[in-house]
Amino acid sequence: MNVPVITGVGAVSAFGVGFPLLREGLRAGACAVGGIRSMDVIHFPLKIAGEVPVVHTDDAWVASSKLPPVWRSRAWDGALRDRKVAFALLAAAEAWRHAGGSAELAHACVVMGVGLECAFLEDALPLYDGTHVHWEREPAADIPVIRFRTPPDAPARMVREALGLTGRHLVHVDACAAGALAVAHAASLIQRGAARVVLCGGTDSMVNPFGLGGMWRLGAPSPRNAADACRPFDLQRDGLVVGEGSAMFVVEELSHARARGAPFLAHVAGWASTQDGYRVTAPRPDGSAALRAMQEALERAHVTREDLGYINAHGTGTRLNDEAEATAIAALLGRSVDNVPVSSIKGAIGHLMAAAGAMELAACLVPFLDGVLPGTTNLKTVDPACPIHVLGPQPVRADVDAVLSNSFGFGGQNASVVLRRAP
Amino acid sequence: MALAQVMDAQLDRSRCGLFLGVGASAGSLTELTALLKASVVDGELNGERLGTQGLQACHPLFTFQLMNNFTLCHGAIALGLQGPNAAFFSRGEGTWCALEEAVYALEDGRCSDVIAGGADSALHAATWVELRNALHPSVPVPSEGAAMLRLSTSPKGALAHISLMQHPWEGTPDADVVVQTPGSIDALGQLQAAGPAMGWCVALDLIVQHGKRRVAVLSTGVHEETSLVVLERTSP
Repeated sequence: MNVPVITGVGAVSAFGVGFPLLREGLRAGACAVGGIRSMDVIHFPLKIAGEVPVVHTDDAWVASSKLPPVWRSRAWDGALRDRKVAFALLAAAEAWRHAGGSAELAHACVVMGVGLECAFLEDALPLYDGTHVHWEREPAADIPVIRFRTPPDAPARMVREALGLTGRHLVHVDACAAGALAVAHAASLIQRGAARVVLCGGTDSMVNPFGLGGMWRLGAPSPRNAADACRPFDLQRDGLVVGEGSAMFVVEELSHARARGAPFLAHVAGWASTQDGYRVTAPRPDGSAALRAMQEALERAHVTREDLGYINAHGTGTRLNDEAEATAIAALLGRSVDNVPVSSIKGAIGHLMAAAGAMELAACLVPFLDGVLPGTTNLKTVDPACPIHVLGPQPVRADVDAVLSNSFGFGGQNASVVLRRAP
Repeated sequence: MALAQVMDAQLDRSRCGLFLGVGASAGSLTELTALLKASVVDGELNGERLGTQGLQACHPLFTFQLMNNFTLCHGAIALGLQGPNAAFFSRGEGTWCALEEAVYALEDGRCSDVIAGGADSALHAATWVELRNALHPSVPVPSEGAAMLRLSTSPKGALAHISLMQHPWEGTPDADVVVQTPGSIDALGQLQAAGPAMGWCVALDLIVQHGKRRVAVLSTGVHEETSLVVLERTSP
């Protein structure tokens, strides 16, 4: 059986560009949620986010980052107007460089979890007559990468082209489970011998008028425009905070990595997906499908609940998610419930939607690298309806060998991934 | 509707997998028009109007209409499917990937039944404009549809054996008939994510209704990726 290991990681989060900033922020128990600067929100109901600290994701910003030289002179044909495209490029570049990516690895596949299309309302204005959008008036012609909205495969396609990769590019559109499922898919391709190297992860940004407005209409975000608005598992929690960013990994087969002297950060040991099959607007309250995802991921990883050192919860800070997830975790752990610490990093960086699962797997490397479990930012009083061992806001020192990360998507898609300390 | 056609009372829905290739967002353009109507002042988007009346003009669940995975999720919810699952964006390639993952879910023992297919609509105005520009100047006829295969590890009642060939495919497949998508079923129009799955269903029909022994489906995505699926009649 082939063993999938992580040999490179890149992250663009509210803490900044680069995995080291995420690692440092989580180790410090910091909160990067704050007022939105990249768009004018004075008239918007949502004014805070886990926003990547950049106003315009343009060619100059990407060019000023520490990218492989081959990228520096590249014109992105307007594609960077969608923030998640820019984040994907930077996170992928970092992961690739971290893994020692070279032309010899050009056969790598790209598997990416991507959020919903970013809409550019201004592109439709010339076609709008005050009553209708006359799409038929749009001339047929070659167009920039993005017009009206971002094609869902644009980030993966651009990363593949920029790095000169020749493997397949596959795009998971599994809402908040997409990033985790992309990493799981990559590990599966490695394990069954369908690929030797996969660049994988997730990217998303809903920090735009349509994204923020749509989330607000759903009623999912906290109504409080304060930095501590997202309080996963807290008695007073009242909703999520929108985040954005990207996390990417290079996952490759262990012997392949060893042969080229690449470092191992972790072993992607287990994964599983299930569907709630319940409701569009709410998770299954008993958490039974989420429980099955966790159980199957642990079984695949040959990790018992007693071996488990940490759970990174989906932990959105919404009433319904946190209670259902805690119910599932409590059922998973049984008598070990008090021995396995659980935390959510969404209070610190927001809910990254399609990138959340990948970013939280990046956070799960911190225990292996630094012996520190991230805390649950903004937690004050654990809700008694969440009968699990939730860590407080401060990180905790611990020596763990196996961690589990949950990602549960709008629409009922559940993904669980188990990482083990590198072999 | 396509999903419902592959259901029956014997299926264990709590374990049945579902892997789909899906297209671009197909949110209602009525919602977009309502938002613009409330937000445009003197031909320009007005931030204040957008943040107030514009958002209120949209249905509260508009974002859910836009989410690409809801093609899968609505089906799973309506039919109570709770097994392994994933949705792949597809303009051809992702649907083959859905089938690949479905077959692997069976081989891996994660479930004993799984549904794989694709669903899409190129009739959505925004999608059609994108396709027309992407495929310019050889613009196909826009179309829509869905096609699903139910796969099982049990040979009972099997119509055909399915196998996936090496990807990407080059060469001439060994088969009685080769169905090409796009190509062989262009009379149905440009089906996008549903195209390869529709080809598999046509192949199955050729075996079950027309006595063919072995039918290959060669699919080419919008970015020229190719994939090959072979369906072979099971022994009587």
